[in-house]
Amino acid sequence: MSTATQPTVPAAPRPTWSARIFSLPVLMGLGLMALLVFLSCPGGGPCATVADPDIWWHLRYARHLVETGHFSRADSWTFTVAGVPKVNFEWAAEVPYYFAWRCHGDLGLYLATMLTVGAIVLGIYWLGWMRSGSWKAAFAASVAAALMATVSLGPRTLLFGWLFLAIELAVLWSFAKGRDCSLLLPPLFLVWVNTHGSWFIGFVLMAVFFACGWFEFTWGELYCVRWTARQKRMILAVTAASAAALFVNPWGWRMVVYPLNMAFRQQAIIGHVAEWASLDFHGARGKFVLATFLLLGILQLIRPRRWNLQDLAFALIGIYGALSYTRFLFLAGILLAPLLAVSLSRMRGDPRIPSRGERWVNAAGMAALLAFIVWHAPAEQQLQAGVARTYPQRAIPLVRSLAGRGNLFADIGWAGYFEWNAPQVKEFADTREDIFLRRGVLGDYIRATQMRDTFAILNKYRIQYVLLEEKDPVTYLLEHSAGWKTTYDDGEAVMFERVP
Amino acid sequence: MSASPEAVASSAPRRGWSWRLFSLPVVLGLLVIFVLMWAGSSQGIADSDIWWHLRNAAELVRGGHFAHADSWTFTVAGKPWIDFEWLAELGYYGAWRWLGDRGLYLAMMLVAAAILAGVYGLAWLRSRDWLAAFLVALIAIHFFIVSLAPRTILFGWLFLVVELAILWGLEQGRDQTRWLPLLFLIWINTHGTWFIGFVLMVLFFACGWVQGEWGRLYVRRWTQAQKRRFLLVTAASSAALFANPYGWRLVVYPVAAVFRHRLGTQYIAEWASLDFHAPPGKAVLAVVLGFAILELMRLRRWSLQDLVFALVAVYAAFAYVRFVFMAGILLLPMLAMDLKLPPAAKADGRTKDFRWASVIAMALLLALIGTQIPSSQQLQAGIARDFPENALPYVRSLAGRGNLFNEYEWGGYLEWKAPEVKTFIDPRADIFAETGVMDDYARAMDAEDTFAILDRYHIRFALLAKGDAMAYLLEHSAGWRVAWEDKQAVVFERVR
Repeated sequence: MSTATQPTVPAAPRPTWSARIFSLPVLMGLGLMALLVFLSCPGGGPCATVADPDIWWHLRYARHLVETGHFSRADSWTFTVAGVPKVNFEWAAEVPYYFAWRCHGDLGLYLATMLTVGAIVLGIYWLGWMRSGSWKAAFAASVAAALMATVSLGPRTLLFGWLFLAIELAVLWSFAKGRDCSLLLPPLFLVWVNTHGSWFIGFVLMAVFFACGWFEFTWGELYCVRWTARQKRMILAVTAASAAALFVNPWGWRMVVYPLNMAFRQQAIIGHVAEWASLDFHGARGKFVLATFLLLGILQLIRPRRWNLQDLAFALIGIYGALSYTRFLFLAGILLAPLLAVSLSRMRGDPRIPSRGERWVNAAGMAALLAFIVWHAPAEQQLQAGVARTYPQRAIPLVRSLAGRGNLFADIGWAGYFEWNAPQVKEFADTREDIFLRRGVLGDYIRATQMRDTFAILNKYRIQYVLLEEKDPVTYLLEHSAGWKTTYDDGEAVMFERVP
Repeated sequence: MSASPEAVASSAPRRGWSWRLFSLPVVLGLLVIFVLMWAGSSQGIADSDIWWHLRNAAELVRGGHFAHADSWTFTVAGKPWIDFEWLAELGYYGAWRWLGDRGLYLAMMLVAAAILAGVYGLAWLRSRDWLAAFLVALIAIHFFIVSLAPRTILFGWLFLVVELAILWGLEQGRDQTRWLPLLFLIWINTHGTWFIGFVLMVLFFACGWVQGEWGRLYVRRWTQAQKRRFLLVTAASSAALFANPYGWRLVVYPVAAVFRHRLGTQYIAEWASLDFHAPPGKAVLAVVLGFAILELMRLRRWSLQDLVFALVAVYAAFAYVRFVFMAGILLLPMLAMDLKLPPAAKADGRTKDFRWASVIAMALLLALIGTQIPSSQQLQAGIARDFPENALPYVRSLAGRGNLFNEYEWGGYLEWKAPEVKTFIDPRADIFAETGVMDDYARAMDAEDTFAILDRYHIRFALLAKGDAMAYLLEHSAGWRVAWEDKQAVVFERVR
């Protein structure tokens, strides 16, 4: 028996803990965090990251839940839809933001936002590595995803939905690689349905992913591998359990059908809500996204690789979603970045175990990035200045004084802010869209602000006060109307009172 | 050794003219044109630009000299202006003089049908498969319908088809590049899209200065003789551009339009990004994504020129609704290459004589095409729906009584139908964007300093569409009264 037929390959040395921590992949991960902190507040002055119009009514819902222990089941903040049933489909996401706010005010909201976005982007980075085996390719793709994420960079409940999507992808792609963690999916959907309506997208993606494996074929560079009989049984059980888990929520079936309802009703307001509009390719973001998608196509030509049907389906959903609805740019980033990493993965010189000298260089780089993060992160004052620049903070005392004196018609983007800061005043409509859409209030608001029957609508709702941006067309209309007088004007917001 | 099916086909004896004329490809071509006529029958001729184009052409024919300054408005009167589409305007004006509104419609459909037939031909040129060419020509109709109107740009797209036929013919070994200078001479006098055509030509030639192969992407280097010829053709084409009534000003116009007229582009719908909620946007996206899927499945090799053209087409269509038409011309012939059936899957029908069946089908299709031409009354009804026809007598009576503020979209119509009245603005966009009138118009319409702007231009009358924010503002203002109105339009008059 020969003892030397095969040359013995020396076993690769296991990296030490310092080699793992002070490595290029960790340095690049920290670089992604630094990029996010920079993007959250690029100017360094007033930072409007937490000035999202929805966060205020989310906080109010969460405060009600924490203080009373009950879910709010009907509206009590407006005079237009008071008493109308409302499904609060994001209650589990509101609570963490509320506690963050309770602990550190606006800074707490900022930290909660950045922690969630950071977790998602690091998740994309890891998914990119999982798919491509290349940290450098994963990093490059994650930078693209981070830039797409800026569309939803704020204290939004949607972020939890995207975090769960990243987890779902990890489970599904592991399943395809033979590591079955699919039992995590039912609890994931249980949490997700209570957190955000994007669970529906996750569920559809899961169904598409599983359904693709019912076929087997190879067409050119496109292929599909059939699941084994055991996998199929598991898939059916997991899908059924996930479907059942959806009903574990405070509103039962109503919460489950809610996203479908919204999908059909949303058509009516698509033209009036910026984030539901198609992507604008005249702006830098639109150009960047299109360039990223085209790069994916060019890479396929110059570095042909095989695509499985699941990846193709996810890529098509991601591209369609991003182009049709600006809101879904982040979704496209999560779905497409790991696939882009696969296409980029032939980058040379992927990290190996760093030498002692390289570890010192990496450590210095990490220290520099951490210093940048700490230095660039906005202070409480910057965040408050950002809020003050977005909302009519100076008008709050005046708004509070209107309680019980007559109906107020305010800019819909400000209403949530008033509901949180002047809860004694009932609003006309806020950005909870669905409840106002159903009752026709949103349609009336849109018609009034587009100067179609404005006075008739103000009369219909017996509006006594109007508070709008100075640049709003209705402001100009009321300024030149004998029936209204200006009672407040701070250069940004103007209040009118009906003249008897 | 067995010959390939293509080799067998190419060695088949050449058929006579009747075999070529009364053939399935011609029947399919007529069928595509019928579908275009059917889809376009609801479009009509109610385009907001055609009216000032007609007036330009009428004045050119009557006066015998080209316009160099505005004389139709009171806002930019006397300001220098270039009529960069004079040759295309003459075509439409001749059709209008000959057959009135139906003439305009026929001219529009004739040019559109020529473009569509061109795309059908280009698709065959690239794929050598009539069925694939037929399919992409049907798809092209979705791309064309976005801006199917009596527009001068249609001539530009027709020239683009001719240019592509010349450039892509090079790959088939037929060098017709000597026609390019003549093409650009006509093109620059017809529409500003010559600039796109010129850039595409330069890109096409430039790609062949390198040679390489990267995955499924390749590029072949031109021969020395080709390089010399292309340099000569490019130089001659450049020189031909200056053969126009405005000299260098017409040549730099498209570049100036891109960089200086951004202000105007933000108010004009066709310069907006593609809306993927609307059917045209969905159709374009479906084609682009379908194309990508086919690429994965068919494993076709791409030349660098094709890739560059495809990237230009996708970017242009996504970024500007106006360029969806161009994307159809550039992209769809390439799609035909992916749609063509493998030779083994094709039934060889060449040996059978279907000439009589083709004659009958062609006669039937020609008759059907004839039925799709709308009557003058139908065209008139379309115009009345989009333009304030009923208001014309009243608007004419305002001549000399004071300045009129008018809807942007209606300006050209008023200039054509009521030339005695000076307008505030019309869809010639550029001259108004440069002088700030466009900005003032947009602010006034959005109820931003409306009254100050009306005062600054000494406006006494305002012709607006019912439902406009500005109409609502004037309706509820003590300083204005409704002087005339119908269901569509309202004329306000200043009362103090």
